[in-house]
Amino acid sequence: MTEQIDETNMKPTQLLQQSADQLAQKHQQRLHQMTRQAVYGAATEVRAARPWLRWPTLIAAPLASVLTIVVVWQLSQQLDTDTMQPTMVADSTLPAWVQDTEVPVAVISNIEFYQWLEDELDKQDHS
Amino acid sequence: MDSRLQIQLESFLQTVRASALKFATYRCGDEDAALDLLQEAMIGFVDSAEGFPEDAWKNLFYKILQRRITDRFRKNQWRNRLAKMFSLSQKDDEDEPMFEPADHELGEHRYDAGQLHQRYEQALHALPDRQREAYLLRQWQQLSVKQVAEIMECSEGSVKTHLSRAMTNLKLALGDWIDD
Repeated sequence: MTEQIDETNMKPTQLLQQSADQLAQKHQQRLHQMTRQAVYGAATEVRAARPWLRWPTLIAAPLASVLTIVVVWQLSQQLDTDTMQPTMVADSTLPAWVQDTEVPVAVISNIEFYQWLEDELDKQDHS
Repeated sequence: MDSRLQIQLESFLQTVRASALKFATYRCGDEDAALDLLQEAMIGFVDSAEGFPEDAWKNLFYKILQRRITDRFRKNQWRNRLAKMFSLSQKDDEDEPMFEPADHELGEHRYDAGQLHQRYEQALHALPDRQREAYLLRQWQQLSVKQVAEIMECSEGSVKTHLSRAMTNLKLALGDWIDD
């Protein structure tokens, strides 16, 4: 009976608010989580959605690019020196005629090998 | 976002979430769907609240919630249309709920415990969507006609019309008690 009197004495909006509060009470846990996630999860979600905006990435990406360019350039220079240019050897262990010549060491090495091979084959023939 | 603002936002959401859930539930008729919409609205609100003064937050929040509800309503409309095209469903959700026959003497009745509440809920459910929105935002949430017009994306005149019709329909269903 008391409930009846209270309810009819209440204004419609008060009744509506009571109903809303009851509904919120029913879903209290979920509403609490939703609120926390919206307020404290939003910033994290934005960062997660745009990883390229993280400051370490902003610094690391150009640095890595520059390093890569430098390393590649250095390697290409080294490769040029090793393969393309004839080695002008100034090694005291090599004979003087090798040091004086313009012919690359690799070619001279081959000539020496063929000369040795020829000598060996001659020796075998004679024996 | 600084921690002071986060606390303010959390406090604000704690005060409006019950009413907002009820508002969304009236609109979509499903508590789970209303909770999902409310969550989307909360996230959207937090993302954009920083640029608004605190006294405009309620208006902004309901505006975002209302948009989410409208988007969902439109998606459902398309889904229903497609379903109809392929004859997968005969259900027509677009029809406005029919208003129950008016009982002019209800205001003089003494209701049993819980009956008035139930009757009021039924009368609100029976209102066309726009009338219900105008009523809930203006009468319950105490927003100005201008703010309600912004949220509902219509003119102030339209809000007044929806509100007037809503009050008439509610009075027909509930008598003088509804005279707020």
